[in-house]
Amino acid sequence: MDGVAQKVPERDYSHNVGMGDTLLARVPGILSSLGLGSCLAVALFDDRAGIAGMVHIMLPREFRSPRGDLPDKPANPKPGKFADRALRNLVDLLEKEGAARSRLRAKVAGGAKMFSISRGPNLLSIGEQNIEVVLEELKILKIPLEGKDTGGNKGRSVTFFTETWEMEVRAIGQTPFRI
Amino acid sequence: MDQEGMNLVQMDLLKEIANIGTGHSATALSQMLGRGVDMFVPDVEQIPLEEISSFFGDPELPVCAVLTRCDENLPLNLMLIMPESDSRALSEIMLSSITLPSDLAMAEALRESALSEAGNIILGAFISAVGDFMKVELPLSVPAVAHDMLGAILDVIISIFGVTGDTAFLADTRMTIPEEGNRVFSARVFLVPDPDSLGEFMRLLGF
Repeated sequence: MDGVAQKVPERDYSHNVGMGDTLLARVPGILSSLGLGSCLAVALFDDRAGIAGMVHIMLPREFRSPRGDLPDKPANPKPGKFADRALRNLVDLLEKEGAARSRLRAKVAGGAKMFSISRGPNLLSIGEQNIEVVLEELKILKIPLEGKDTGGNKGRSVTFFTETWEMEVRAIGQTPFRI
Repeated sequence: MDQEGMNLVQMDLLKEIANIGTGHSATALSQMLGRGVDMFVPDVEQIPLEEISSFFGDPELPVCAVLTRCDENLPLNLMLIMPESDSRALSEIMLSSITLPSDLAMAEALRESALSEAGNIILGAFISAVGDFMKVELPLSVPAVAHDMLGAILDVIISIFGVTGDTAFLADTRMTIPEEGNRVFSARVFLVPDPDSLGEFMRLLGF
């Protein structure tokens, strides 16, 4: 049980979506996010337009202090970092590239709870909160959720194939499967 | 705290604290193993959040991680991360004096408990050195162990730092056990104050 089974071979049209990043790919492009813990990978796609986008979300929303203030620093330049902004931003980017909002569909994976520790701040359940906000946003944006592998306590790596519009999910000690 | 604005003197102070902490960890581990343990002076790094995963190499690298928390005085999280191969070897050294049960599940449970104990000792010694320096008592909770991909484990740390800033601090060290053929074990200790106690943490450090 060493490493993650069956790595997808690198191709020049495969792209790694790092933390907080948002990337688009046209057929036959491949989008991957590796080693997701509480983070979530969301893929939105329009098969008719032949385009997909992936975002690697880190947190449910931008931090506000207990008093409700926003941090002193300007808004993070990476909208993909926060679930509440990531999807709208991704939809805008896809629309600019010819996708129709009404045809968009979604696949989502990640949002695990890596440690079971009894006490602790809600920061240790950030995965659940990420999932909650993403599902809510999808509902608001009226984008149907076609596949989902979320929660649990194992990390995941995901690869989205625009040739089949499928997302492959891999985890340590688990046979890879597609959603 | 303006992490980007941290100067060299402050980085040196953090490095010194990490050095004291890992020194205590080595002593504690050595007492438990009954063997000498040498610990290298740790590197303290300041890196942008988004680069943490790739900074340490393959995000899919299998690692063992031990997480514990302090909930009193100065709420913080403490994590030890070792490559899976190193943690395996460490658990075997710890259990070398006993005969492992033939039941595989039972043997695995013993290894897990040994790793949890090693984490407890290393992290406990680390935090008591830090607490002595800051003159505050920092009692730790029972540790939780996870085996998973490095990237997935680091998400825990990144999500805590991610709410307050875009930069994280990590103490990175290595230790060797000369009696075990100078095998080098890589161990990383992450001290992550809860966002609400970060200011107090920096104040106690005199920043």
